[in-house]
Amino acid sequence: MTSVDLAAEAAADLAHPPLRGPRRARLFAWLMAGPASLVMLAIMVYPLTNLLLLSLRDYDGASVTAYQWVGLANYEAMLADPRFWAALRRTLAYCLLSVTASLALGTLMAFVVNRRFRGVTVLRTVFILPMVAMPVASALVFEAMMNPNQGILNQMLEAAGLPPYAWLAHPGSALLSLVVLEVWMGAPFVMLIVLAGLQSMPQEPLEAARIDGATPLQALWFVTLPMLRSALATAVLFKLIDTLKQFATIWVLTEGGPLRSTETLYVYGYALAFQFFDVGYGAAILMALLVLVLFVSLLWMRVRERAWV
Amino acid sequence: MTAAPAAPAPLDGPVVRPPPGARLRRLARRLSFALLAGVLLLLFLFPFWWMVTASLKLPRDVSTFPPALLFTPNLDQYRAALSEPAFWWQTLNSLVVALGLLLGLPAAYSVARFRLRIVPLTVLVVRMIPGVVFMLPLFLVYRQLGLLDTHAGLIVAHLIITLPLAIWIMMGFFEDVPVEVEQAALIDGCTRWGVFWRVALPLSLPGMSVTAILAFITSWNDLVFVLILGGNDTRTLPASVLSYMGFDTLNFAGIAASATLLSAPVVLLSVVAQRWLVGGLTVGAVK
Repeated sequence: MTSVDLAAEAAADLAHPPLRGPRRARLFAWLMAGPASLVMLAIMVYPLTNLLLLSLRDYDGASVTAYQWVGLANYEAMLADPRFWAALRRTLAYCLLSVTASLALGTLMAFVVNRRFRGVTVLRTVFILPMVAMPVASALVFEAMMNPNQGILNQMLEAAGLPPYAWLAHPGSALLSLVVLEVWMGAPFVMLIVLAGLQSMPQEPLEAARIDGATPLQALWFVTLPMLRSALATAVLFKLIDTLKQFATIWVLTEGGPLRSTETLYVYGYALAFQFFDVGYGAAILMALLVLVLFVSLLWMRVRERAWV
Repeated sequence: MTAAPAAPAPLDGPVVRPPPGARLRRLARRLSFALLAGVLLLLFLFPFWWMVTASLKLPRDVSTFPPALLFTPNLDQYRAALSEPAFWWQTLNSLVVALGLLLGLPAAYSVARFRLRIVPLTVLVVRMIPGVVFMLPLFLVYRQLGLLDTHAGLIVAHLIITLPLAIWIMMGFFEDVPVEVEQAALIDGCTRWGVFWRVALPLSLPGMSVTAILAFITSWNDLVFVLILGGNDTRTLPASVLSYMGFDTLNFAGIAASATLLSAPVVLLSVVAQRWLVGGLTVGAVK
């Protein structure tokens, strides 16, 4: 075989998956992916499996060797733990509230910046900022603005003749205050997804509806929104995953308080594992969070297969 | 027959003279749209405006109401924040996204061209999972290896953020490189490594910059990793702000300056690179 033949053969198997191709192509493929795969095994796959094992143990985190195998006892304790159920309910409430509000606000924003007018690019840029700005920084700013004594929000309330209110110090309003911040940070992502949907949408159905005499509201409800269905589903599921994972803002603003009124699953698991060093039980709680996140991810993969493949 | 009609009739029938109220109604509609856009703009800009102005005021002037619009800027708070090593550790941790790219690029190429299914699946799962899930076992391992509160340890941990991101985004860019170009290079006698190094990489340079910026942003914005694996020696700025906030809550100017410093690099990057980033921020969700 000449070298040209070899090259031609190699070129042919670039187009075909190497499973049937020569061994050398496969070797090359794994050599390229090898370092990354090893790192991923060491710092991602191994910790994941280890978390599962930890959740089957009673471990106070103090010594290195004193593990006690307890089987499913941690999970049994979890199911009997009212603090777990309360955290789960809070997590779901937090997610549903913030995702719904982000969806509404983000869609509205997408419709606004989908129009053409002077300054629309500026508006679009400003809208994206909360999404990339560091969550800790945003949380700090919101905390300062919501400060009961000198925060600017309460100063505005007082200027309007209303009494100041400690948003973050009352169990009834702390979670809602966190939702406000979450929406402020989350709506821009919805906007981007819906905007992409709007811009790739065919215009003919809308024109047809207009000719048939649909009012703008009817066209929006019966034509545009149904066509945006998969974009909206994607936005909802992505935001759901994001909010399930929210920790930084909650930790900065309330650390789960007051009176545990903002203690989500994440915060509860973190506190158990790293503040009370109840590692085994903390691992079980984090497993519950993991299952929740993976369930939503599976849903999202189903949606994606239907819509784009 | 006579000449062709001068213009096609509009779709909705013959032109009708607008009814008397129409212009007024249109004006009202435009005004309410401008009002809506203005309210939204205010909503999203206000916290940033507050943050930047508060950081430039003297601490005693921060909470005067109504807030002063004109004042002489004062940079003391920035001097204080920048003299803390925490800010620079933060920068160091995030600049090593380069490491994630170094490992991620060949892997992404391999996945895109040779369809190693197990890698993208792992990447996807890792990207969905909350960081704390990795942190608990990693914390125990690090403690045993003496890696807690070391920069090496944090830099490796940041790979959990940057590596999957790099593989996930670059996969798409490598798939967009036409196979024919690579085949031509192979036939001309280029090695497989040469194809990757001389053909695929240069063709996906824009993708690489998006990936680098996004990896930088996500790694910069991290709190939970440094909270768990870091300590006094490696504290980054968000962790250090959190630690002094407890007894110094009312130094709004200081907090605002830290928040501005923390947001500034990311915000500037995204304003500059906005055109490309929008595609990157939604990657995986659209397309």
